[in-house]
Amino acid sequence: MSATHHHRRRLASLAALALLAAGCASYPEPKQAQINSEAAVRGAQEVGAERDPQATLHLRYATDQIADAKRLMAAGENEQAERMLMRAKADAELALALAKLRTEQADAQQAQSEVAEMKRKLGK
Amino acid sequence: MKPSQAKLTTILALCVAAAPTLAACGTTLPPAELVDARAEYARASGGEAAKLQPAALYEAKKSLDEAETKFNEGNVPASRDLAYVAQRKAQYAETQAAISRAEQQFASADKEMRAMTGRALERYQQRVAQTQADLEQQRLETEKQRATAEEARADAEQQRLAADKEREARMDVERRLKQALADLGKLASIREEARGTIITLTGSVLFGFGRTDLLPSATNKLEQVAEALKSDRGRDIVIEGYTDNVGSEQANLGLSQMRADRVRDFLVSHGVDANHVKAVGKGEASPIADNGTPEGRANNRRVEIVLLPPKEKR
Repeated sequence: MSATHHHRRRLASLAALALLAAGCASYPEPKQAQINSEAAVRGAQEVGAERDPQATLHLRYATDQIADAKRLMAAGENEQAERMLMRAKADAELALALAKLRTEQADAQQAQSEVAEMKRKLGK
Repeated sequence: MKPSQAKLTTILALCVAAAPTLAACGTTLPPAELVDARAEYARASGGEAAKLQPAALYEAKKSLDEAETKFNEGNVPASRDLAYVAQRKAQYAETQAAISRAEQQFASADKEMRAMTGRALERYQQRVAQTQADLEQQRLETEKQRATAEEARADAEQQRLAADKEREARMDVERRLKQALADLGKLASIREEARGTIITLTGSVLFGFGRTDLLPSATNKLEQVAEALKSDRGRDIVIEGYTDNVGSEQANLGLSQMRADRVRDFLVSHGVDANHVKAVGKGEASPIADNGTPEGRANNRRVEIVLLPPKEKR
């Protein structure tokens, strides 16, 4: 009774170890991360990130990093590839925000100069 | 490259504790990415992102914590990548904060603009209303002035017409008088003097010698005179009797007065207004011919009917 129980526990431990080993060996391809990063790049391009130098720089980082991630995936380095895709996504999102900032600042400046012009016109 | 004293002791303590498994730790310094990420996060959390973008800042913090954990576990490549991500997220939070600020600036400028244009519009509308009121006032005054002018013009026209009518009537009267005098001129001499128009009737035609009653033959003549004088009622008439120098002056005055009275009575009885006819005896005064000859004396015996100039303004 006791011997059987002991044996069964050893078997379970071995199976768990085997599963763990198999999991470690085959880290899944970060397909979702790739989709997310590429979507972030497109989003940044859509708001006109390429018209702003700083945003363009981060957009470049993002696309370069996606290319790196693809190479790493091809080499089976999926974990590293996933982290590269996280970096790409962070850069693309920053590019989008920077592009948006330029637009907002331009709008604010325009509005402020219109206010100043109006004040001048009203002679105040 | 020169960590603080406290950090160094912490790292040393960790190294001692983990010595069997992390032999390489003693020489490992945080990667540049982690150093940069810490600085960037510190900067962002010290700025307005803390207030305006706390959620974005929290995302950066989570990544930074993960990077620190990986570093502490000795997984430097993972720590480097996570630190990179943390730095970008901190920059993202700052950028979002700047966007918020720009939006606020825009909103406040927009609000100010709306307020200004609103006030300007209000002032403009007030001015328009005032101008319209002024114009209406002016229009009313102009209308009033025009009405007054029209009234004055009508009055003047009325007066002009009345004056025309009066002049017309006056001219008509004079025309008729002139015509009557012209007719009379065939029987009596008529002359114009400063004191008026004078009709002279020879005494022998009117009265017998030394008498004061009218000869029957005089009647026809005086009827024509009365007819002429009636054409201008309202004119003052003076009948003057004259004699020659035969007889006493006193007697001549009385004679001339009586003769003038006779003529006056006749004229009044034939329609000449009594209120406007006066009879005056002048006796021997104002002879018009030589009393030395019979013809001269005959001419001096006479009655003069003087039509005084009209009293009305001429």
